[in-house]
Amino acid sequence: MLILYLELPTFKMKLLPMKQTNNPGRLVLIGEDDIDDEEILKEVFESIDTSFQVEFMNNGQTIIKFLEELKNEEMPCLIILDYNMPALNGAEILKRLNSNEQIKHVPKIIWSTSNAAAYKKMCLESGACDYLVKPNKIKDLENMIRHMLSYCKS
Amino acid sequence: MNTTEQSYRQRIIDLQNELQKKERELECCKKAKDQFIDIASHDLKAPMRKLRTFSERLVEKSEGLNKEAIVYVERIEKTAVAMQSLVDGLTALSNIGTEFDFDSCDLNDTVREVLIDFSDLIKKEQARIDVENLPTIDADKGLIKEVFKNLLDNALKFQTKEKIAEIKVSSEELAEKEKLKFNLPVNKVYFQINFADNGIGFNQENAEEILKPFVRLNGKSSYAGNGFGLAICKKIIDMHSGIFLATGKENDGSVFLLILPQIHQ
Repeated sequence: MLILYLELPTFKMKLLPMKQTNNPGRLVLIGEDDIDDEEILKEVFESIDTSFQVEFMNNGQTIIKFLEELKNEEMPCLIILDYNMPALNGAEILKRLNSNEQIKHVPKIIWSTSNAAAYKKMCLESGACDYLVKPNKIKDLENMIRHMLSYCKS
Repeated sequence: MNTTEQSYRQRIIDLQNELQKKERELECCKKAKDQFIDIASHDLKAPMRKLRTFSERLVEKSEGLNKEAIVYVERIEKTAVAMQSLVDGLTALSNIGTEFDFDSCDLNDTVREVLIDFSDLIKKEQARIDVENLPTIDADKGLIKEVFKNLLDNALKFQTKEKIAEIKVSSEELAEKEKLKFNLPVNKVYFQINFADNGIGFNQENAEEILKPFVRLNGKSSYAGNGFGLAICKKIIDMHSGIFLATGKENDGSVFLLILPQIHQ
């Protein structure tokens, strides 16, 4: 008899933020499953602009559930998604978010290690307003974050 | 229907089934290759990117770091850059051929575009570049541009310090005798594009070797590069049903020959 052992993916599940949005219109939601990238992003975000409330989530399902439960006035001003995340990739998350009337209007950026043209095309077609390749240098990351924040409507 | 005809019909059905099976296998191989490109472009690049970011952070945050330690961190950074370059080369090589678009391509325009892209470097090196009239052929413009970019980059890079770089791009229609020599159909028009430089050249014994991926004939410290440029050129020319050859002499320049059909079929 053939026995298959299936290894289920283990998600580093984070609890939904208890405080929800205490800074309306200044919430930036980031989907990132890489702890190193999360740490460096957090650090650089804080060094650039502390007026934004930055929330990290590490998988698509959590992001979708969190956003669906928010009221319209609590919506983030920007959603940044890593392309390669467990269960749902960036393009799949985009499609799901853009099918929701309330979330549809929020600008969404995909950021990824890959510079493959096919991924970029797929993400832009799925509703991303930009596709950015994760930079090597902190200075480049700072500039990239400033560029990302320019999508937040003031 | 007689027995012979029936047996032929059965044979055709069997062959069609076999063909379909092979097509499915080919599709599986293509998928496996795409998966490999995905892994290479993401899973290998991510740790190297982070290695560079954290090396930079280490220098920034460690005020008391002595000079020797900083040199080691710089070497870590350089190693990560070299590794990234290798992965980029590998993924570029693998990505060629996934999508291409043949169109009428005036090679004069292609070379002109490349010269504009390289104008700063050409000026810096004070290189003399002579381009003769080139033909119009059926080609993927973007990929052929990539070939000329790689060849020009190499010609400018592999130079001796004593000389000023001299690069000559010329072309000729392939004679019947040459077509026979290369086993090409004599009724088709082929052009031979010659890309010659007066750089460091190479030993003719290595002429085939240098067209393979990862192969470098010179030390990394002397000449930068990831060892993929010529392999990428060869793959592109192969895709155009052409022939890519290199001839050279040590310390006496190289000539890269691109033999390409006028019409792609």
